[in-house]
Amino acid sequence: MKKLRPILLRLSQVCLVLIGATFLVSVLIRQLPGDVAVLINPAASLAERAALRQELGLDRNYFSAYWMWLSQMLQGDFGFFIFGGKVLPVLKTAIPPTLQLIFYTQIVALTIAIPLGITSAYKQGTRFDRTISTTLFSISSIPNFGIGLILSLLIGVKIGILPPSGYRPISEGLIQHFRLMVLPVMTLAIAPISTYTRLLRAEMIAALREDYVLLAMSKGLSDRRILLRHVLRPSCTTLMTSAALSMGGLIGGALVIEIIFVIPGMGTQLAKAIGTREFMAIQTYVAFIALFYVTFNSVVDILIGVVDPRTRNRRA
Amino acid sequence: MLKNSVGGKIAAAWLGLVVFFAIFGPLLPIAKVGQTFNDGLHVKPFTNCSFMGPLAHDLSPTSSVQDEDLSSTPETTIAVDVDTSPSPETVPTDTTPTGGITDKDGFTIEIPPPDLTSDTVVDAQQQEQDRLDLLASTQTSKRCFFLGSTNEGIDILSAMVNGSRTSLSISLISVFLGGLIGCLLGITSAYLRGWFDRVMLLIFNIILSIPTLVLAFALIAIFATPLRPDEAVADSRRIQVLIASLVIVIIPQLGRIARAAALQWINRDFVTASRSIGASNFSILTKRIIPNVVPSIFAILFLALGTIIVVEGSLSLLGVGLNNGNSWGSLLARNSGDLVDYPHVIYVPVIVIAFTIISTNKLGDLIRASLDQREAKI
Repeated sequence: MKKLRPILLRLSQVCLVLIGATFLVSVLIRQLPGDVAVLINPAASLAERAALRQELGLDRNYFSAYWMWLSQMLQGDFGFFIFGGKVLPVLKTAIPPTLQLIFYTQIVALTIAIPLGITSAYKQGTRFDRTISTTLFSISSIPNFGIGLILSLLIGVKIGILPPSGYRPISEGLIQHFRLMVLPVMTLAIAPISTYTRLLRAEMIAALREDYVLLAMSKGLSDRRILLRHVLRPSCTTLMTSAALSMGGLIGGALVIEIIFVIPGMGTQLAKAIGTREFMAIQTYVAFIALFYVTFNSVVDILIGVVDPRTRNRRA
Repeated sequence: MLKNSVGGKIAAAWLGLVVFFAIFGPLLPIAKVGQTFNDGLHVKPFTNCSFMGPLAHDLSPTSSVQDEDLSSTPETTIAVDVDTSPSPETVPTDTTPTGGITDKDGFTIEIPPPDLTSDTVVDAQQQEQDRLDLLASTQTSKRCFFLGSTNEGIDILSAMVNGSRTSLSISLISVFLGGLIGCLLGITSAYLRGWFDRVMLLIFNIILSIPTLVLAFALIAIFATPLRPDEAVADSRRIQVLIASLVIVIIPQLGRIARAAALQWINRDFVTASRSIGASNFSILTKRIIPNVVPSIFAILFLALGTIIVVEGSLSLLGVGLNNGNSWGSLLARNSGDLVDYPHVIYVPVIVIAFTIISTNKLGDLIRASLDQREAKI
């Protein structure tokens, strides 16, 4: 029970934040100008409009409307599009591409950044270190939509070794799926690679100065063993936190990248919903994005507690 | 601070140039090559510059390139650009509106583009006329088209110089306001602790739980939507809403940083000392804490400046930026459809934005490094 207490506390905080975020969105959505009832059925009479507004909860105050939305969400009713159709099936098709995009990006970024960070910490101050950090600094400053457009032009169109845009689910061919994913993932991964490398390098340089590293060296352990076993593990917690925090940037980045590379994910759907004022869809999408982001962050937080026992009781 | 860093000097020089253009650039009108054109009649970079590149009369008069196979990228970017700007607005300066541009802008997602079959002949004639006009105007004017022109016949160099004011002022104003409010809230809550701190932190966390771009996107889409779908939203209102939503997005991020920075100073001995001689809360905050917190916030503000320029560009690409204005982002977004045939319309804004962001990041880093040195000395 004592072990579970911080986790439970954390969970209650998460719930509070999620309720706050979804409430904020539901208040914001109500500020959309114009009468939704007119949009849904322009020919409706006044009585019909009033009935429609009542059915949608538009005549209630903010709290009661939010409660209505929340209870519908919890019962699995995600609302419908004004121009026809339910939100749920669209959501089901839109979530996998975005999740895949973000997931692949994190994997690629970590697999490139960890070796780079270790090497540049080990060769600290040499030309290799300086070249890596300058290059990463410059490349990561290019806005991701710029990288996306230029990559899609150069590699997709001019050289033509990869398809410039599009999406194929895994079930329709694994190779084509990954070929289409290469460019967007490359585009999205550049910023996190730079962040992670810089962070890991700084952390490892700090850890290399610790006494236990000196002890390990005096024991005659190999450099490789010291770096991977003694230095990398304590540096990893910061990296994990950073990975969790960069999730927000990745979701935002994925929004734009999806539109550039024509991937039918959450970003494309959200843009479409906002363009056509599908207020229920917007509310559901944003709620899902917030849910995903917050959940990921708190899972990482709890995982860090598992990896690094020192942080377990620090949070209250 | 800049003494030993070549990169820092270059960064400062570039930012100085951008600020100079932002102040004085809009005094010059945007140079236009000719009339408004229907389709890709871009002037290539370095046209008419005698030292390199083609002369204007080398422009092939029949250079219309059809995208046949690989046009999905430009298509959708146009489509999204169009979704949220359902109003058929022509470019303010064009005097003879030809069919193409209004058609491109005038459809929303559920209405297919108007069929042009009946007008094709007239359109072709008009296009040929436009092309001749372009050739005539580029040949007679001895102007050098250093960076080429866009689809609309706007000289890119002058559009970038003009757009620097919009882009820079949007990011400067929103970072300044957001930083100010965020710092005030963060420092106050760090100092007061108790329920105020808890509530502020909860509010910050709630806003931060929605990713930056998603929140800014939703805010602008909600507050800059016209009452009726076919109405246009004035650009000034769009700018106001854009700045307001960026401020809302920035406040919690800088607020959390300011709170953390202030917490480091609040338990120092000199603060306790001034409290023990009976200084008021206000004077402790203004004389002891804020002077120590502000420099470290200043470094973050530079980083935020770069981020906001990117966010502005992304929002333009998502179709909720200043669609008809001339900020860097909207220049990029409007022309991203011509990417395949005329890549220079993309390269120029991207390179300029990237350079600006590299500069702000570099300066922010330098400030932080010099602060760390000062800290180390203490």
